[in-house]
Amino acid sequence: MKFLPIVIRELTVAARRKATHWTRMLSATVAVAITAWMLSVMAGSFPQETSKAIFGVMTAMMTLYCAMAGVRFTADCLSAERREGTLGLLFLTNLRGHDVVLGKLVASSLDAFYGALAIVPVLGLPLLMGGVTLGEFGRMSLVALNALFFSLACGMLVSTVARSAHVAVWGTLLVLILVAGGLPALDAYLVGKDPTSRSVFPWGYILCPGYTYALGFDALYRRSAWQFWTSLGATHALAWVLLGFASLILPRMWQDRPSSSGRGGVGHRIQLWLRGNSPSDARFRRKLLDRNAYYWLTSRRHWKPAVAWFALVVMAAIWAWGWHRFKSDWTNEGTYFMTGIILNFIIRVAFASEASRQLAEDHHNGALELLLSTPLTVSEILRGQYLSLRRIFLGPLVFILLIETVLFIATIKTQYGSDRSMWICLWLGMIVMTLIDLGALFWVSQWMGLTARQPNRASANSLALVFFPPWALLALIGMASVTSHTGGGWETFFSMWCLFGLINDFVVGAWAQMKLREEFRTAAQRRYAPQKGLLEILAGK
Amino acid sequence: MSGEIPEPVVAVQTVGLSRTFGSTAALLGLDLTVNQGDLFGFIGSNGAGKTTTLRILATFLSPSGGTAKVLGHDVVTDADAVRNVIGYMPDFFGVYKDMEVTEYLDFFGACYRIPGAQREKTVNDVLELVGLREKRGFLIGALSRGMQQRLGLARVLIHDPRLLLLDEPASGLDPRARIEMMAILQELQKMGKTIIISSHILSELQTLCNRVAIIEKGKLIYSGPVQGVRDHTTAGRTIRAKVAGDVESALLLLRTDTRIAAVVQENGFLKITLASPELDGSVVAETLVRGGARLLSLAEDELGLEEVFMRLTRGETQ
Repeated sequence: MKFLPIVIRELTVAARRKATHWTRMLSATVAVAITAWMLSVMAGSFPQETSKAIFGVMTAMMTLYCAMAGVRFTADCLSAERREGTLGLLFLTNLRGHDVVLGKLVASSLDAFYGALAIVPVLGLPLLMGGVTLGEFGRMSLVALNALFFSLACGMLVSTVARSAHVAVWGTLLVLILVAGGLPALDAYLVGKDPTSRSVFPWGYILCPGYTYALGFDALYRRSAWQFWTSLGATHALAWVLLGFASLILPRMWQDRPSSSGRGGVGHRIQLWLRGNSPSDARFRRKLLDRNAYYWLTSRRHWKPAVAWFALVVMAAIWAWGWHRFKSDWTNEGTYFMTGIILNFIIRVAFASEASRQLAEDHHNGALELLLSTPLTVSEILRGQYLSLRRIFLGPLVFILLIETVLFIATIKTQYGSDRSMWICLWLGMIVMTLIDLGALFWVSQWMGLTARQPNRASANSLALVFFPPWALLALIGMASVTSHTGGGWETFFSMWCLFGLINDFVVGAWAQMKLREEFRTAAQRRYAPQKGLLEILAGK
Repeated sequence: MSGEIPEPVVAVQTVGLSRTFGSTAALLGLDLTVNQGDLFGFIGSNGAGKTTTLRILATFLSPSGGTAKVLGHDVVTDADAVRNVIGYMPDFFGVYKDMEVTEYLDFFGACYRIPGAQREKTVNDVLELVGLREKRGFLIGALSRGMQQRLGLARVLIHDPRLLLLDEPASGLDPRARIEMMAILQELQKMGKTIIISSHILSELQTLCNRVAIIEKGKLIYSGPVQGVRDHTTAGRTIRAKVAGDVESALLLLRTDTRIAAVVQENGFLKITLASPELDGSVVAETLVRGGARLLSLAEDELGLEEVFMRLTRGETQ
């Protein structure tokens, strides 16, 4: 069969991978477990009420998983081939851009597709229980699969133009957050503040999977069927446009550029600028090298701290724009708190990314093998990482804390009684948890960087390990309390969030610290050892 | 006393060294001795266990069993001391392509705790030694493969180690770069360094090394002088003879002799393989002369390291 040869080859390879089967099994197991748990919690409720709750939760989780799949599955698939120098080999044959793009799309997304598909039969249970129509079932499955396709297509396009794994992954995440969440969320927030005002970004909703998801339920679909299909069709069409564009530009982007990095070349001049070429920069680097060689390695580019500051400047610009446009409507406790949440989110993500980057890259390209054959000790490497992260993030972190203190004071000045107590708790809890999360991320990100098979996934894995367990536990308890009508007030949930977060940070942080101190060298060797299968591990072989 | 040859000092000694990866055994009780000042060739098929051995000696991998000592230091219990006296160059070495040549060496100099004031001179010296002085300001990414290999060698030398562990240092190099690399290694041996080099280019090892070890399936097959490796083969020597007149009769004479394993005609000569390594060319001469053949010339074929390697191993991996 000559049609799309890469697709066939990649599908054959993917079908043989253990991960393909395990992903499918894991997704179905999680879906069945959540359904069973909800069934047990809602045992006394009406079947229709139960089925609607299960359907709502399961479809929401499936759509979110699908909407973010591009970050995990396709973001680095072509950029990795370009870095490894294997992309060019494909284009030395008769293959064309769309062969490669569609082939890699299919290969990279098979796990994601199977993962989503494995959940669909579980959605059939609410259908059988009643309360959910066949139309809703079909539309929600369609919404999730369409979101998956769009997300994967976004990842493919970013992967086509990016070279570095970090740029590819974070670029895809940024595009997805912006397209699927950022603009609609901002619009919803602004319109929510003033229901009489017109939508600021009306077109932003159309591409948002959450919007399509909400319209898919019978209640809204009956009134807005046209909007549902428009949103679904627009997202689908845009996904094809992204893939088409990727296919078009890929044949022009795979070739190695002529080296200009010799002395005096453009590449060399860029590198000199990036690392800083003044005598004071040279003196600074020499000081770093004498203090700790690994500190020098991670901090030799003088612009690193500037990136964190740049993100804050962008945030400040958005804030200034909002203030200018909405005047006094902008300055309220909701905006302040949202600003705090976004600032804390940015610094945590950037911190996790930087903490895992150098070790992940060194482990992947073999440089760690060289370093570990020198007298450089593991403690020195960890100390170098600490000094580097402190250099990059201490200033921005102090600045963020100052801003948050100002916003906190501005909030409590306008609040009285129980509202005042609530805001004080929320602000203090958020600030304290950010600091403790950073402490846990310092250890977890480094361990993930050392052990992740793919460097670009190290920071995402660490963020997931630090944030997912407390939020998942809180969500389950929240669902249980809502469905069993035994919910507590905000104080209960806030206390639980803090408690779960603290316990999780302490446990995963201590675990990662112990692993780094005791098993650093063993983990660094691991790339040479064949990986055990899950059955072998379970059987203790 | 003055005429006595001094006892060689041991640089590397492994006893029953083994390493497993899951159910795969990469090394199975390797006993290896390398003396100080040796230029030691480490030969084996892909997957035979060469790289695993070098990684253990470099303290990067821990052995599953047995012991390994480098210049008197145990690689497990005294790893820090080992790291100070070795220079390890892996077969696939990660280079920081966005660094300049001098920056790279300066960084590794700091890793080896060379004081800042001394590093600049040391960097210049090793660049001079490997012939990269002209490239000192270049980005590593702009260097050719051969230049990067030289840089790797310079990195290995930055702290003046007593033992060099070089895993395929000449792989991927063009003939000129290979010859230059080998010349550098010979120079280093003259400076008193002990060098263990694994390579697939056996003809070069034959001329370069004074001792070799052959390893297959994680086991040592031979270790000793290059000249002695041939005696280790179970197959007989190969003799090349030229006779005048009736060649067919000579062939018949030789084929009926049980001390001769095989005879073929090749480019006007008779290529004779003897049945056992204890026999030599006199057997051929005796048979031919007694049978009445007119023997014009007789010479023994020098067995190359490649041929010995092929005879000793089957190319099997773990």
